[in-house]
Amino acid sequence: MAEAKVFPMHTFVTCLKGGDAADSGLLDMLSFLTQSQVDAEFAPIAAALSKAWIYEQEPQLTKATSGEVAGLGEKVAVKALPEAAQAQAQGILAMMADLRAQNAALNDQVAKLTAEKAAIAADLAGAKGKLKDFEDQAAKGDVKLSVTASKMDEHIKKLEQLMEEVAKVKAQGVVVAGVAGGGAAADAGAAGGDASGAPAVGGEPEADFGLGSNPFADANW
Amino acid sequence: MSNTVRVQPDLKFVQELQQVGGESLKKCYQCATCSVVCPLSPPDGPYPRKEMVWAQWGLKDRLVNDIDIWLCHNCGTCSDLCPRGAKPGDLLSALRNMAYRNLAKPSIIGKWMSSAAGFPLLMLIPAVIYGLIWSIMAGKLGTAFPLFVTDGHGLKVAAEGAIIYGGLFPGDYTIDPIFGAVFVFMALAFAGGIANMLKGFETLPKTYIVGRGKEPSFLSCLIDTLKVEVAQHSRFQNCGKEEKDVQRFTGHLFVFYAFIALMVVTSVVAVGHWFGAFFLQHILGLEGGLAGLIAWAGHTPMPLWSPVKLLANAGAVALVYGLMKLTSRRTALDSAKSTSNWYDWYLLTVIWGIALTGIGSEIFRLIGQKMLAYPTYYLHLIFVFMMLAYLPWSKLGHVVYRTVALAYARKIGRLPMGEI
Amino acid sequence: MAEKLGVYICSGCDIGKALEMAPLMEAVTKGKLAGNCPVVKQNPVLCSPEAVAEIEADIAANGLDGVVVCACSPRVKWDIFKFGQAVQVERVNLREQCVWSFREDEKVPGLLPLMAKDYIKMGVMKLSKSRIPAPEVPETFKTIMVLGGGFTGLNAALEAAKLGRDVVLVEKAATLGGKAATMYKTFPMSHPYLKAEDTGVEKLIAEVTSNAKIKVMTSAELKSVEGAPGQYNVTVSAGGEQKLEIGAIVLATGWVPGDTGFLAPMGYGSIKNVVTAAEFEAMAKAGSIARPSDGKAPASVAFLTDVSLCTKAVPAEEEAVEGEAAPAAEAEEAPAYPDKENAKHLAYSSELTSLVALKQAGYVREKLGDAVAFVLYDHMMVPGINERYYKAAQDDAGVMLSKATITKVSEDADGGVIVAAKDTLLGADVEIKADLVVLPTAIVPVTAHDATMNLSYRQGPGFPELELFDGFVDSNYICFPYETRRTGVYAAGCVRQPMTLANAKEDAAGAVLKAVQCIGSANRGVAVHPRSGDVSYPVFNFQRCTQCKRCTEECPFGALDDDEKGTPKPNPTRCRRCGTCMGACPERVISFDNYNIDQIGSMIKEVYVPDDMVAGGPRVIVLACENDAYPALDMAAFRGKSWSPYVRFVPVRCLGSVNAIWVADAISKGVDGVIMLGCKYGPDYQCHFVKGSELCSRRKTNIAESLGRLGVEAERVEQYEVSIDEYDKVPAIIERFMTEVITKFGPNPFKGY
Repeated sequence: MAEAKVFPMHTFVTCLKGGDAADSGLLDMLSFLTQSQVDAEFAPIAAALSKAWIYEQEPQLTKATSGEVAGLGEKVAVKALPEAAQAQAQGILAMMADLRAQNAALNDQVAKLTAEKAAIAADLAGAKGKLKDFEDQAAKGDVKLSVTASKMDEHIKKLEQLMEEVAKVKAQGVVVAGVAGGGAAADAGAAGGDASGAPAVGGEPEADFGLGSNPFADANW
Repeated sequence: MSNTVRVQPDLKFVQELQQVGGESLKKCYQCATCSVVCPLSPPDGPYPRKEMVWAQWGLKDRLVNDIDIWLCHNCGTCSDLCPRGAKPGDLLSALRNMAYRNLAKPSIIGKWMSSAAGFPLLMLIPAVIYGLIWSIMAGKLGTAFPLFVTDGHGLKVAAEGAIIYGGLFPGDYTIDPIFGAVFVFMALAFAGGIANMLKGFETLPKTYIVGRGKEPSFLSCLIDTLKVEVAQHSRFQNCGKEEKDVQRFTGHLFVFYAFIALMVVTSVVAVGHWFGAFFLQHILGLEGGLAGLIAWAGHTPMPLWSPVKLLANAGAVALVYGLMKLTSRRTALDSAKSTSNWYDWYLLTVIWGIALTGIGSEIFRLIGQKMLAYPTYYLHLIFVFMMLAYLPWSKLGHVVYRTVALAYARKIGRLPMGEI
Repeated sequence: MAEKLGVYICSGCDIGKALEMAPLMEAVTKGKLAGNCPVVKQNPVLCSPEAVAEIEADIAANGLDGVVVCACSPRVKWDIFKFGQAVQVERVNLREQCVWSFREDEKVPGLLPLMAKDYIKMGVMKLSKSRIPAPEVPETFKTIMVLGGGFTGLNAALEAAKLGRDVVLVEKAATLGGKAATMYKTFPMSHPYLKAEDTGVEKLIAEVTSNAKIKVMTSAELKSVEGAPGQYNVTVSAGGEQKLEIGAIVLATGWVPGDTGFLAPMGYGSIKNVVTAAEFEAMAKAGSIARPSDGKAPASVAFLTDVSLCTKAVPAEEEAVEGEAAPAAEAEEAPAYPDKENAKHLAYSSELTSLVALKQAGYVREKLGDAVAFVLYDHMMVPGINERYYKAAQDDAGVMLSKATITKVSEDADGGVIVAAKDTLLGADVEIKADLVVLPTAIVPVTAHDATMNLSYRQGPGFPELELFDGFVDSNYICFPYETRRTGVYAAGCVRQPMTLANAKEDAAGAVLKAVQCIGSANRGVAVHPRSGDVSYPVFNFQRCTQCKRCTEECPFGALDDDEKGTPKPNPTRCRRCGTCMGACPERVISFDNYNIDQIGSMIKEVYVPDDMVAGGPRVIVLACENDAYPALDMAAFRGKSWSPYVRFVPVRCLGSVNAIWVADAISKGVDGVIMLGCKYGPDYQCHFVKGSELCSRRKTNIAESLGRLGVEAERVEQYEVSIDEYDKVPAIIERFMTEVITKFGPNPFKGY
C-alpha cells in the first residue's frame, strides 16, 4: 500500500463537501488519490471517486458538516485509492481524456466546415455578382469587345516597352564592369579608388542613412 | 486568508542555542540536504531544515514547542552530509538539551546541569548526605570501616565479620527513605516537566489520518509507543545503517536492558524486604512458605547463585558492554561533523560511575577489602543519587520526555500508530 | 601594388587528395594575371621549413613583392607565412573553406576544381591590387591624464607613474579621495577575507601627492579635449585656464548615489526611520548610528536588498514622468545631455548592494553591542573570494540573513518600521519589525548625468549611445574592458560598471595599460584596438568628395571631424581601421592601401559564373566578417560541416566596410545572390566595431530598393547574423538562402551578359 500523504485540511474539506473552484491544492490531492493527472475539468469526477473511498474508510464523515470536518485537525493524511479503485478511476479519467480529445477534434472540424461554408457562400455571392455583370454586359455586347481590344493593345505596348528596357539594361550591363574594376583594367598608377571609369554621379546625396547615392541609379553601372 | 507571521528574531536565544551545543547553526544556508537524507524525517514538514531556519532566525516559540526534536534519534547523518558543516544533528540535540534544562522545575538544577561548572555542586549534595550518614554511623559503630556478623535480625560489628553495606548505610533508615524521597522528587519534577511540554505542544497542528477512526486516547498511544519504540527500539533501528549507527543501536539496547535488569533486581530487593520481610513477616507475623521465599529473595547480601544476583551481574556486564560501545562511538566522532556536548558526557560519566562503582563494590566486598569497599560503595551511592535525583534535567530525561512526546505525536497524527 | 607574385599551392591536409594540382597552376599561368606571377609552384607540405625556405629563396631570386599561399585558413600558421615587411602575403583558404567543407552536387559534376580555381584567382587578384601602407608617424605626447581623484583615479595615477609616465590627475572636488574617503570601511581586500577593512585611501593620497611624476589638480574643471590620441590639447580650469598636452586619458570619474526618488515604494521619504546605505555609511563614518526619528541607537536594523518593489514600479512611473514632461519639453529646449538614470541602476548595483548590506550589518554588530541586523535579500551576490565574507557574516549570531521578497514597508506607531515579506525561507509570509531600515544606494555613473569629457569632436562632447548601458561608459565589458567609443579614452572603476575597491584597483591598472598601449601605437602609426598593430589607414581622395558628411556621421568612433564645408578631416590616431567610412562613401573616395573598393570588386569578378544555371549551378557571394563569421566558417569546416558548393566567401574587415558597389558588381556579373554574414547588432551587439553590422543592414534596405527598381528580386541580397561560436548554424543559414532564395527565384535575370 502506498504511503500516506499529508494535505491541508481545507483542501480535504473542499474535496468532501465542495467549495471554491478547484484550486491547485485540490488538484494535487486528487491526482495523488487517483494516481493520475487530474485537471480542473476532471476534478468533479475524481472528487466523486475519492469521496467514495474516504467515506468507505470513515463513514461518520458522511454526515459531518464542513465545520465538523475542519475541526478534526489542521492537516489530513490520506492514502491513495486501493489498486482496484485506482485502476477504475484511471480508466474513467482516460476515457474522459479520450472523449475530450475527440470533442476537440470535432470542434475543429466544425470550425473548419463553418469557415469553408462561409468561404463558399462568399464565392457564391461573388459568382452571382459576376453573373449579373456578365448578363449586364451581354446586354451591351459590342461595348465589351471594344474594351477588351483596347486593353490588349495597352498591354502589348507595355510589354514592348519593358522588352526594350531590358535589352538596354543588358547591353549596358557589360559596360558596368568597368565601374569598380576600372582601376584594374586601366592604369596601375592611379590610387586604388581613383578608377578611370568612375561614374559621373555626384551632387547632393539623398538625406537618408546608408546608401544615398544609388550605384544603380544611372545607366553606367 | 492572511497567514502573515510576525517574527521577532531573538539574538539572545540564538546565542543560548549556540552555548548548549548548536554553535554551528549559523553556517546553514538552507539547502535542505539534511531533511532529504534523514532516514526518519516525515515527508510532511520534514526536519531538521525547518528547525535550522527557525534557529537562525531566533524563533524561540517555535523551537521550544517543537515536537520533532523528539522524533530525531541523532544518528548524525544530516550532520555528516551537511555541505556547510552546520551540524543540524547537533542543533536538535541542543534543542533537547534546552528542554532538559527548562522543562522541569526548579530550574536552578537545570542551570547547574547545563555545564561542567555545576558538576561539583551537584556531586556535593549526595556526597554531603551520605558522608553525614557515614560519619554518624561510624560514630555509632565505633569505626568507619566496620565488619559485621549476623545477630538475630540485626547486625553486629565484629573483627572477623564480613563487609555488609547495609550495616554501615542502613537501608531502612537511610538508603530507602532517601531514595524514596528522591524518587518522589524526581517524579514530581517530571510531572511538571511533562505538563509544560504538553502545554507547549497544544499549538501544534493536528493531522487527521483517514482510516484511523477517532483520535486515539493518549493511553493507547503511550502503550503503542512503549511496545514499538521503547521495547523494540524500532525507530532507533531505522536511524542510520552504517557501522557506527549499528554500534550505537546495540550499545543503547544493551544499556537499556541492563537498566531494566537492574531495575528488576532493585524491585525484587525492595519487594522482598519491605513486602516480604517487613510486611508479611514482621507485621503479619507470617513465617516460612511464600513469605519466607519473598523475604529471602530480597535479602542482601545475596549468595552468588541467587537468580536475582545472577540477573544483577548479567545486568552489570551488559551495562559495561553497552557503555563501551557508546563511549567508543562518541570518542571516535569526527568533530568537524558532529560534536558531543556536556549533556552527553555527563550522562556517560554518571552511568560509567554507577557501573564501575557497583561492580567495584561487589568485588571489593567479595575479596574483603573493606578500605576499598566502603569508599567505592559511598561513591556508588553518590552516582546513583546523581542519576535519579537529576534525571529530569539530564539527557536521561529522554526516557520520559521522548516517550511522552512520541505518544503525543501519535495522538495528533504526526506519527502513525503501530510498526514503523 | 604587388606586381611580382609567387603563387604556392599546398597539396597537404587533404587538398592534394581532392584536387589535381596541374589545372590549378594552369589557372594562374594561363590566367589574365599570368604576367604578374613569375613563380607558380606546388608543394606537398607548404608549411614545412623546407618549403618556407624555398619561398624565401624565390623571393630573393625573383624579387617577389607578394606571395599567394594557397593552403589553409589565414587564421592558422600566420606566423609561418611571414616574409618581411616588403613582401605582402595573401592566404587562399583552400583547406577549410574549399576542400573540407565541399559538398558534391550530383547534378553538376566537377565543381571542386572550379571552386579552387575561383579562390586562387581571387587571391591573386586581391594581392595584385594591394599596396603596403606607409603610415604617417606623428610625434605624440606621452603624458597620461587621469580624470577623477577617487580610489580608481589615485590608483591609476600611481600605476601610470610606476610605468614611468608623467601623469596629470584632475579632480573636480577640492580634495582627493572621492567616495572611498566617505566610507567608514570597505569589503575585505586581503587574506583571510573575513572582515571589513580600512579603505586605505589616505595612504593612497599621500603616495600620489608625494609622487614627483604626478601633477595633481584639484577643484579643477575639464573645459575641453581637442585633437586625437597622442596629440590631445586639453584645457583645464583650476584657478585659471591651463593648456595641457596629453597622450591618452583614463576616465575614472566614478559615480554618484542614485536618486532616492526611486526608493519611494519602499518607504524612503515617507518613513523617517528608512535611510539609504549611503546615509547609513555616513553615520558610521561620523561615529554614531542613530535613528533619524529620535536620535536613539537602534536595537535592530534591517537591510533590504530586494528592490523589486522599486524596479516593478518603473513602467507606471515612467508613464507619469513622460506625461508631465511632455508639455514642459515643448516649452523649454531639450536638455543638452539626456539624463540616463533609472530604477535599473539599483539592479545593476546588486553585487555591491549585497556586499554593502553585509558590511553595514557588521557595523551594527560592531558599534551597537547587542543590536541585531537583518539582511533580507532577493539574491546574495557575492562572487569569488567574497563568499568568505558572506560566510563570516552568516556566522555572526546577531546577523540574520534570509531570502525574501519585500512586499511592503510601513511605519509602526512607536516609530519602528514593519517590513512585510513573502517567499522567505520560513515558507510563510512574514513581518519583521526593525528600529531602522536601510535601503540600497544605487551606483549611478557620473556619465549618466553629464557628458563629462567635453571632447571637441564633430560627433559631440560625450560618448555616443550610452543609453544602451544606462550611462555606464562601456563598449563591451566582457570582450573589451576599458575601451570606450573614443579611442584614447579608457574607462576604469564605477564609471564603467559598479565594482568593489579591489576591482577598481585592478581596473585602474588595466586602463592605464590601455592608455600606454594607445600612446605607443599612435607613435608608430598603427591601430590600437581591435585591429591592434594594423598599419593601414583610410586614404581620402578629396577631389571627388561631395561633402555629404556620411563618413563623418557614421564613423562609430568619431574619428573624422570636418570643416565648415563638410570636408572630412581624418584623425588617424582615433581611427580603428574598420572601413565603415569606406562602406559609407557613395562616391567611393575612401580606401585603404591593402583593402579597397576596386580590390574587392575585382576579386568578386574573378568568380566564374556559368551562363546556364541549370547546367552549371548558381553562384552566391558571401561577404563574411573576418572577426566572427569567417572564424565560424573555419570552425564549421574543421568540425566536418559542409554546405552548398556554389558559395564563394570574401572576407571583409567588418560588414560596415561593405560598399554597395560590391553588390552591384556581383549582380551585374550574373551572380544569383549575395549574403552578408556578420555580427549580431542591436542593443546586445557583438560587432567589434559596434555599429558595422547595423549600418550594413540599413544600407542593405537601400540596395534592396535599387535592385527592386531594376527587376532584380530584393531577396537576392540578404544579411544574416552569426556569432563566432555559432559555427553549427552556418550550414543551415547557407542552405536556407540557397533553397528559399535561389531555388525560388531562379537565375539572376542579368546572367550571361
